[in-house]
Amino acid sequence: MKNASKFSTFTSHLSDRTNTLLAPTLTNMDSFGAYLEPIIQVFKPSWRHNAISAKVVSLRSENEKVFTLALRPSSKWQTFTAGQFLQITVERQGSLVTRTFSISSAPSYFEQTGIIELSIRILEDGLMTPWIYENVNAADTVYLSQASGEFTLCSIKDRKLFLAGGSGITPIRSMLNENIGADWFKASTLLFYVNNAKEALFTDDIKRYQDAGLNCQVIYSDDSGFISEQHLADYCPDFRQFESYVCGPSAMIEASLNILRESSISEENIHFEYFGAAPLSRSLVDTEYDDEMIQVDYLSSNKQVQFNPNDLPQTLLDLAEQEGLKPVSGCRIGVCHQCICKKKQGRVYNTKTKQYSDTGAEEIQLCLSVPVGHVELEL
Amino acid sequence: MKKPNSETIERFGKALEDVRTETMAKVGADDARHIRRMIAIQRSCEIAARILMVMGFISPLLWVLAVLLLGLAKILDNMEIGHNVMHGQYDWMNDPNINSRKFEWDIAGDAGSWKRYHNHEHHTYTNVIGKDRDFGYGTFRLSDDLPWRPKNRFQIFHYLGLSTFFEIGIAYHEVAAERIFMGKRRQDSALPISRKQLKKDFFNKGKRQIIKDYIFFPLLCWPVALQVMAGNALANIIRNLWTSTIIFCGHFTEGVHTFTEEEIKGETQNEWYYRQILGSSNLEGNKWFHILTGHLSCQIEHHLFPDVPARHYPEMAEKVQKICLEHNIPYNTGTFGKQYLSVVQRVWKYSFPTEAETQAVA
Repeated sequence: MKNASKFSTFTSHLSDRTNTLLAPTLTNMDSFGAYLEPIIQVFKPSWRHNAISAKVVSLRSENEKVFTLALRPSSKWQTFTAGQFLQITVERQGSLVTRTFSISSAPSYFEQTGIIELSIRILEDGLMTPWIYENVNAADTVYLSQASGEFTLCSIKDRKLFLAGGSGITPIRSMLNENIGADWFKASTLLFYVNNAKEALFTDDIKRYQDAGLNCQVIYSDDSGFISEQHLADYCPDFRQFESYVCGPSAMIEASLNILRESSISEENIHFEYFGAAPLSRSLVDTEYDDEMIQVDYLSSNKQVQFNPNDLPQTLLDLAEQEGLKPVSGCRIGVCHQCICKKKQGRVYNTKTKQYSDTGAEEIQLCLSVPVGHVELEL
Repeated sequence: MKKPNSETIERFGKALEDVRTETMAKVGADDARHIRRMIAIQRSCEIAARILMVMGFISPLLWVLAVLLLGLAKILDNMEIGHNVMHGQYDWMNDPNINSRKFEWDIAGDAGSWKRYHNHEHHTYTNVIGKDRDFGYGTFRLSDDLPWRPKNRFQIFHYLGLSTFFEIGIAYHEVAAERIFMGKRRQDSALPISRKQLKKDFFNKGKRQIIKDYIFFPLLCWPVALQVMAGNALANIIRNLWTSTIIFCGHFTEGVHTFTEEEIKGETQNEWYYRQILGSSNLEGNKWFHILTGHLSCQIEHHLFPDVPARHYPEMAEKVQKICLEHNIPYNTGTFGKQYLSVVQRVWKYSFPTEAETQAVA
């Protein structure tokens, strides 16, 4: 038995070694799978080496602006924890485009049916979401990443307060569907902000939660305004004893966090997730710039760009694209790691980790990195 | 020939920009399908060739077929696929394998090195004597810009040699320019990587190609090792002759102009367009001829729009030719036979000193 497992480790090791050593020499590609991909695609167009495919089961509208995509991932897709997100890649006019979305269905639903759901808000001037809504149909193939993300339930004992804004309900729906009827569920509260009745979302689910004992409040912010301490006092007077989960547009998250922190709730009891990296603003990159203009050198393409950081900080990816370069990119929010590039030198600010880099050489994600001084990139 | 006035050049540049915009609007799923299909054909040819190469003992004809198929695979890989992908023509596809950063081709030269000197040096300073080492590759005298030297007398033989081993020339190009192994170190080097790295990349890529064609596959088919080795060598030479011939036809035909560094000082984008047209020449042919040349048969359009997917060049060529005619700018095109003959004549003509030089010597 022991020997057999040793042998299988050995063979898998051998096949890895064959791929890494032999494939580049014989095919000039990383692996034989990548070499054969275009030939296999002649017979099976949606086949992609190393990709996790998923079949579209259905696409249904939740309201005018939000739709739900039901997907059946291939067996390579593992599973997820309620609240996590994934990246979905679709082929749009010949180009592979990747975006990140939270899973809105429950893990138990996936175990029973093999289906996961993504609930997606159509951004009016978005490049991808209107296109997906118009062009993706049942039986199409899309590609997925494994699920990831830290915005998941921490303990199942405490009473919980869920603050959701608009399509920020999606990871919370996953958590609630998974735990409907649990002890903590009956002692918890959901405040769900939508602009107005037209933009209401998942009304059937909310009804089910209510029936199962969750304190649910759907608040129309056109009438009652954004989140305030008064709302919390009205709908969840004991909120200081609750563990909070916040998800929604960035302004809503920031307002919620301010209220919760001012109410001296400890950080460990506050969980939140921005949809994407925190928004870029002048106040975000908290630096006094020595230079009026910052210069970025793109070494391989022999281009350089200068910009004024005091106007608006810009990511290295945006700057490169404005300069006519086309680095490989994906989600643009730091999840897919496709736009990684070697920085030769210079300091950058990472908008996700909120940390400044060293000045030396390292790999950075272009979509998250804002230069804070002269930067040289191998691009 | 007199240079058109700046107003004409400006209108001319604007018209070319319009051609580019019109074409880019069409780029999409068809282009993705095209390049994937080309790669599928190239790899099918290669796999078939590697198998047939061993079958020579059944009939020598199978071996001949294998050599031709392998040559074809290498030509497709280098021209329609590698050259164009590495120009970034398909970067918008966001494909992890089909993009200019990642692609490596089936040729002795390292992709990174080629991208540096070809995409930057040759495409920016096209035919500027002293700047574009692709004009004559630092060894040929192809215009009166360079003084005649006795070694030029034999450059037609040198040309035949370079054509036969063209891939080595491509591999060695940047290494030679940076004087890595011999000569006096270049003062104005803009090499973005270390000299050590350049040397390492040069040997690594060469080693890979030698292992593949002359060690791995021959050993794999041991009893017929020599036959496989010879077949692979021949396929490489077929590719070398073809690529070299096409590339010489793109820049060294009779009517192609050269420029001095002085002339391009302060050059505008529109003047750059104008220079690209004077410095390049086209070949006429059908769809498969264009594909086998990697659409370098439309060298003029390639130089004007290097990152537009090449399958659009023939269509753009009609428009560009019309624009040139309207602005009274020469447009150098002809059949393969005619253009190639003029290349050979050019190599021959400049093997000899000009009359002034002859008199000076006498």
